[in-house]
Amino acid sequence: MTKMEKIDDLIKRVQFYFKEVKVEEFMTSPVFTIRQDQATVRAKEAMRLRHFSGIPVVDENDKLVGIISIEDIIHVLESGDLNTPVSQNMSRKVVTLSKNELIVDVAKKFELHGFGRFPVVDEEKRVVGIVTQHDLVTILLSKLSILYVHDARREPFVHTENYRSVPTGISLKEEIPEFQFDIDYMDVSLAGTGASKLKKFLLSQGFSPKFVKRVAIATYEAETNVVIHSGSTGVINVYSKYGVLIVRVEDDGKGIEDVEVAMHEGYSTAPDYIREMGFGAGMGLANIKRCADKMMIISEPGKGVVIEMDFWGHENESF
Amino acid sequence: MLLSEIVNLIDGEKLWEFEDGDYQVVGASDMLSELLAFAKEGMVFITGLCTPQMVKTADIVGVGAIVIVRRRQVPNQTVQAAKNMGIPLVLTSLTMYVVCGKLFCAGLEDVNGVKK
Repeated sequence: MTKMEKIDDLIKRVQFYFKEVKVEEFMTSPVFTIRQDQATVRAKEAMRLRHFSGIPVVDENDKLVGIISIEDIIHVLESGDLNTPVSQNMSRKVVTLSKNELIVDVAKKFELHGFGRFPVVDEEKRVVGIVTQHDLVTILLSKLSILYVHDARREPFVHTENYRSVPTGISLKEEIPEFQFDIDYMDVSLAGTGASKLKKFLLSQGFSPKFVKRVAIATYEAETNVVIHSGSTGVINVYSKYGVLIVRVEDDGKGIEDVEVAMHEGYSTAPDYIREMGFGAGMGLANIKRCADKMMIISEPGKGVVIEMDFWGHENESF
Repeated sequence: MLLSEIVNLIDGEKLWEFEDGDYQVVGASDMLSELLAFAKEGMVFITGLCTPQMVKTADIVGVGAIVIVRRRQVPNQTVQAAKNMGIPLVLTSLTMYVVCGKLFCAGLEDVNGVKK
């Protein structure tokens, strides 16, 4: 697969999860435009200096009349005159978007027309923004707030296909949890109760103590995160499937601003009083990564956090 | 080394009537995440924390005994939690530095097997 096909593929697979996102949320704005009566050389210079691959062209009333791309410039360089007005060299066939169009439709337009960019216009055809493939990918990634995917078996591939595992776990809802615990965020001293109960439960189910310890530590960290950071209630669900134990901890709280930063050991946003209780070392997510065989975080500001951790038995931890 | 010997060595006070046992490994920290990261089953955990939370965390990783340093008011819930979980709890007025030093000199090792 080429890089572009991979991106298309990624977009197709994840667009379901945020099909409600509108153009105005991810377009680049304000947008650089050029007047149709200006010399083409100015368009060329703007592209060179600002690294644009295309510029919307407007008339004297700022209304969109065309678009000029690098391809058009090359054409002029080969067989034209850079001093002629932009209007002579631009493409007049422009496909535009409106601010309220949904991301799924934008993805379709990219696929259908094969253009690199679409100007966004208002009712009066004034250019209010522009959307490139790059904008599309960026919004998808930031919506997923990506996600650290750690899977020992897939380690060699992880660096090239970071996003593959994103939609996993969505279907988990249909399964019946074997263990469920509601996290009470009002009382910090209760943090860890769920992990403690889970530990006892797993031991009673005959799992090996070493395995249970890993699960308990990771669950404890995820649970404490909910209590300390989310400001909301949460739930721990535990399933087992094909010999893999899946622990899913979710809350409806304020979410994580930047998952990648939060993954760094030593990074913490915990307030002082929490630190005085011995929390907030900034090792939580790093500890989870160390204990789980695979972990996945989905979060965005204001929309809670879902941490899913998979565990499978290692050689020295027979079930 | 027997816990009763450790209690004597650091001039400690037993916070509940637990049974004696043998201990080899010791770790010290005031950060719970760190405890989760390095703890070894059955080790003695030296800490300045005295919240019930600390006991719960110790239980998760299977800490064998807890020593709270720089004698402070230990909440009842903490003692209760330790008792419920069967983890011996010792209080001393010595500082963490001195407790660590004494136990190290007595031949106890850290989680990586480092000893005198």
